[in-house]
Amino acid sequence: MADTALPSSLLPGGEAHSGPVAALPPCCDEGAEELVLESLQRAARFLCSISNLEELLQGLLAEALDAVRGTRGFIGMVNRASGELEIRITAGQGWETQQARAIPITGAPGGGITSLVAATGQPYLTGNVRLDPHYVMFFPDVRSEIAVPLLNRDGGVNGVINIESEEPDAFGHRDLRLLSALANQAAIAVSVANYRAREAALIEIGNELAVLGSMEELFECVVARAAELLRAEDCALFELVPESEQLVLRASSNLLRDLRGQLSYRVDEGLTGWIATHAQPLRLSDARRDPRWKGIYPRLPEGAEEAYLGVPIFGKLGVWGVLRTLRRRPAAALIRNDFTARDEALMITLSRQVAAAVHRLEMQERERRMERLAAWGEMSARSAHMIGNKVFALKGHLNELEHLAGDATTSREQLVAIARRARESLFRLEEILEEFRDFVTATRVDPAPVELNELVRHCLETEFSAPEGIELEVSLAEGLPTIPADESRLRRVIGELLENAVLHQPSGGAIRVATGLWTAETAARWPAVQYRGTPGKEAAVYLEVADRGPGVPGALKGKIFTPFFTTRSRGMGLGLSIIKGIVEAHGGAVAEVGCCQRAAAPGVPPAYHESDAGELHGARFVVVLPAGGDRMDAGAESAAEG
Amino acid sequence: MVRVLVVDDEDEVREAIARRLRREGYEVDEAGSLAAAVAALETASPSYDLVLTDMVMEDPQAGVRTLEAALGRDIFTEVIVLTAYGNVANAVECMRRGAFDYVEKNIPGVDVYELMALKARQALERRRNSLQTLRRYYPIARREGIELPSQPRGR
Repeated sequence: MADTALPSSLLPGGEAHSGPVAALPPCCDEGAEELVLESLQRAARFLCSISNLEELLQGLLAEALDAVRGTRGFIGMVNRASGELEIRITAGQGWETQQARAIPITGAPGGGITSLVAATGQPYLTGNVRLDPHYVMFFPDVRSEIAVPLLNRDGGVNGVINIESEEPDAFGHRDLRLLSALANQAAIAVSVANYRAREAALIEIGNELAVLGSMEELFECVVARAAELLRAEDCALFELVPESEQLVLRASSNLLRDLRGQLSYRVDEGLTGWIATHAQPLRLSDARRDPRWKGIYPRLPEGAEEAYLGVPIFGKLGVWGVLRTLRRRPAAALIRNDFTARDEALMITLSRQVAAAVHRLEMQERERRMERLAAWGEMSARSAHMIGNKVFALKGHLNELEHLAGDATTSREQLVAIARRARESLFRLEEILEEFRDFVTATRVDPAPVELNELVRHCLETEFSAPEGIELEVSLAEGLPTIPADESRLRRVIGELLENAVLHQPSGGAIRVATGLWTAETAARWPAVQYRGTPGKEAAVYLEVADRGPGVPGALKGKIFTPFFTTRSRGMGLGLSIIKGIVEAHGGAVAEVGCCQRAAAPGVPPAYHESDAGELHGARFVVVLPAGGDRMDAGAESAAEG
Repeated sequence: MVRVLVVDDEDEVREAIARRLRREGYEVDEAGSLAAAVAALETASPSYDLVLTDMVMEDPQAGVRTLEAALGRDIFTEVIVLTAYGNVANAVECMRRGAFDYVEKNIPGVDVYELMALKARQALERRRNSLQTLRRYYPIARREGIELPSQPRGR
């Protein structure tokens, strides 16, 4: 790499001249050689110790200015998307009055010496700027100028170091040599810094992808990070839908964001289709010149070119999708903005991480489905058993009825009594069927705006009457946000909780019904409620139903919401699991947070009792429901599958 | 009088069975759990002639346990096992261990209560025959010097 900037052939003379310097003479002055070495050693030390790019360039420029005794200097970095050189780092006097500027890279006379160096990648030296055809004036006092390129590993120009002096013929070949050597060291340091940044970003992406909980989040994360890492105009992810042979856009970092889920390619269409069909990466300087290019995405601005890089994402059964990214540049720009082989390797790495993350999410989903299926199996077996028993009892009543009807001594009362029992049996049977149905449909919610307080009041007034001996305390917070909810399902939740409270206080007691805004404070008070939303960020409301009954012992707290758990003889023990299903389908959470039997609850910290003094000590159910509409979709989706 | 114990954890079911068997003129006791059944069997004096027990209660082995307790008290007590749908394997295991028969609770189109009453009569018949055989055997055993437990009560 050093060869590109330190050619060994001779320069004519050793005196000041003007023009691009393709060849440098060996240094014959021993004192000068010494200085060069010192300078380089100093530079090597600080370049190795700094990983921040900006700081690194700052140090480099200061060292360069000092080494060649210039008046001022700057480092311009190439912006490949605009085709311009941006002045990023400056040193010396006079810069305060200069605006930050970008220099077009043309290489044509009159475009500026820095621009020329950026275009050619060759150092440039002039002892008299006034006679130089390329010079453009920044500062009126400049007489001499020296500029060397910062080259990257592929020999492309990353930037230019430019040093000026008020003295004519201020710089000689020694300075050029020194500056080129410094630039080379800087190039290595820049490349190392870039690698470190890439490595850190890749590790971070890997960590992110390993924990993200949904495909949508995953896709968004990948395209955003890829676009950032590759300085791309857009990065998009397409999923191959085998049934329709379509590549459907799942995520885009920029240009196609609004078309997610809508835009699709046939698998034999366009560059993306080619990648899917051939299961190979594709890297192009200008996508539009390629015959496979279809141009379905938004049209390019006039006079722009588009570099293209796409890689297949491999699933278990071949190509799962395509990850592709674009860079734009003005077509007239001299500097290329192509993707490199390293960019391609990076994309392949990313695509493999996507594949692994997708696989993980699919396995999780499969596991969830298996659990649901297992619950269904148990549900079927249990309900068959219970229904069978109820039918058996009913048959017994009918057998008795028949017997009594054939017996002349049977009284009318006996007949009525047995008929009543048969009817009771049928009612039990219907209860089981209703529970079954509610369990099955709990996750199917049809949301509409609901005022929680209004619903609670309605339930308390029309569907519930507190039995004698049970005191009812109602405390509804005013000004709660409307929640998107399925009113009939939510009414079931409230009704079931109230009924539960009554059933566990057969000899009287109290029931407290309260509502409020879900805040950081309530979340801290009831940590057992595992609501995913951030209090205060996304609005949510809570419903609290507490009683003075025996409460739920700590060991049972985790079990009461599982299907078929019951301490009652009636029904199948699905009541609380139905509540949980309904609440979760709304994107909410439910938990029992009561501290039953003060002394006999070892897991509960004493402070909790203190703060709770004077309140009911029985079962306390807390339901949290989101006020935002986002989660409803997720609930409806899972319902469709269930 | 014939003494019968009905074991089932579901009140309604147990009552219906007991009611039907009382119609036969039997003296029927009820037990709502395995523990209650075991207690009733151990303390009964004289022992029960017939036990009808559900197969699966709080314990899937409840039927087998009841059977063991009944035969442990009196080897000539007859046991009929009631099974829910899909529990035939368990019932067969009970038969192997000495149950008289099993009755499926839900047989489509069949009045299971009449079937149960019929099986109860057959079981009691077998018990009577067993006891008769034993009674004939007692004088022979005495004469041959074979030691036997105390003579069973006769009916």
